[in-house]
Amino acid sequence: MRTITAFCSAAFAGVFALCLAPSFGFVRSRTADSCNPIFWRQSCVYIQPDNTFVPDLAGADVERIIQKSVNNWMTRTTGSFFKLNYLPASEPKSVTYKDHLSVVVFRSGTKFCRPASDGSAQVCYDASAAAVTTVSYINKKGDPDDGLIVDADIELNAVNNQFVEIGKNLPASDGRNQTDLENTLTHELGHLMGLDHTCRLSADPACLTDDQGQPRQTCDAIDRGRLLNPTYQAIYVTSMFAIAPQKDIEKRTPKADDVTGIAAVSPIANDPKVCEPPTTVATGCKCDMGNRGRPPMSALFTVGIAILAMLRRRRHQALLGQPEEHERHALGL
Amino acid sequence: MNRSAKGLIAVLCGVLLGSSGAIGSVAEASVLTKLTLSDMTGRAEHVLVGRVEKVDSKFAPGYDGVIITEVQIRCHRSIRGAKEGTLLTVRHLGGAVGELGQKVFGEASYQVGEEVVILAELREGALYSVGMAQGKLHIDRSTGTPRVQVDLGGAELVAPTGLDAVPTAQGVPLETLIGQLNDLVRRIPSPSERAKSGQKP
Repeated sequence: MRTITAFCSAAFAGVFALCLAPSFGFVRSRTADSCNPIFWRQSCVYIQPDNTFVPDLAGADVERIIQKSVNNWMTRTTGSFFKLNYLPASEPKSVTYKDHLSVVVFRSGTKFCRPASDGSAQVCYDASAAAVTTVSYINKKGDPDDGLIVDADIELNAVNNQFVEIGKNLPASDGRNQTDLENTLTHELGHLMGLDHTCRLSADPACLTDDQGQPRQTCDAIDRGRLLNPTYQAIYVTSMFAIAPQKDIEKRTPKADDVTGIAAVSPIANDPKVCEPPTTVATGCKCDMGNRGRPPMSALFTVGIAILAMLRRRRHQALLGQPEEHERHALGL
Repeated sequence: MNRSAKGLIAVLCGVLLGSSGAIGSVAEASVLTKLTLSDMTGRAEHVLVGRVEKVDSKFAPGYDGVIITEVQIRCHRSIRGAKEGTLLTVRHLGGAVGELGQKVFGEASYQVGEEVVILAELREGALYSVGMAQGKLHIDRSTGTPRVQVDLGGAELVAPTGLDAVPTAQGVPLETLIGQLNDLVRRIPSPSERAKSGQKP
């Protein structure tokens, strides 16, 4: 009996240690040239789905799940100033870095592609990705704006995935992967806010490390080794792990690593207290703020808006002698 | 130890493993589908060992908002498709043009001079590594023997080559991987070969 007691104690101690595994492994996304971490300068970003949604789910359900995915982060990232503001779907949306609006678009049909538009050819993605998030940033080595995120958009692969809500009545399988939408979106929103995967699929540049300064381990090695390695298990269950079993819902819940990562990208002490809606949404116009061949103009536009807003706030404070509400939801939506 | 004690241990182990979420490593995936070597071979038109000679980012034709990066790889050893000595251009999404950078998560990054094993598929007239970064395997020579980080789990039906096929922290020997890929290429036709023979591509 003494042997059994000792065995049980050791086993429970192991599991206890697993549960209390320290935070390891969040990885910030970095720029291509300088390898600086990318970051948001404004206090928030507006997220709006394309109103054509996806045949697999009712539009109202898609909107509810997107908001739930947003809340999965916002209820936990209290150490970060960054806010994800949801805008209800209103019209079809195209994916472009120029609108400074984070759109969520489902891609259906026979291939996972961004469709052709305005005479341009379509761009197709890998069929094995459940979703693709594209983050656009200023790439200007040595400049304070290097790494400043100007836009981020999410495209969901409904060609190879049947998006569902695990835990509710599942529809009959039609041959596509049954993929939990909330799980996928929570992961993609982590990218949108500035996080990279917590494991690597291939070789990394030497500068790409986790918060401990360690190179990322391969996703395969973590998957294989996690049964015996609490640190690997802790990384495996993060929302930002690159690979997940089918019907996985583990990524719905950001873990300590994920939450710490968001606080590192946008620490609350550095809150710029500027939260402007995208111009395209506020005015309804799809103004071309970019300039072919001179992409930084759009970024300068963003920075300009931020400076104007800060000047306006200071003037307002000087006139009233009291602080202005830090987030303006000017849309009234 | 009596039977009830053994039973108790078995139940406890089951509960412990279950509660730790450690049960059930499934190859299928949702965020990014994990592809086996067999999966990737079935999608690849070109499989080769080569060296990166040039990495060049630009806006996708017709778009002024989508950045693509073209990577030129000199084929040193052909396993399928590209002939040895030829230059293959593999594309990935994202990169940096002037002062605009774009990051597409899951895509591989390439360094000039890097030695790689590439499994490349054709999409809309351009070649991409299969499964985003999964189809680009970095060759590491830091331990003397060239090694590659790869999961050989999908190649379990392939006859042993006689070399160490067990992945280690340093990866598997390059020659082991090449042996596996040669076997897979013989057994699994490329999409164009399947199309020619009337099979579903």
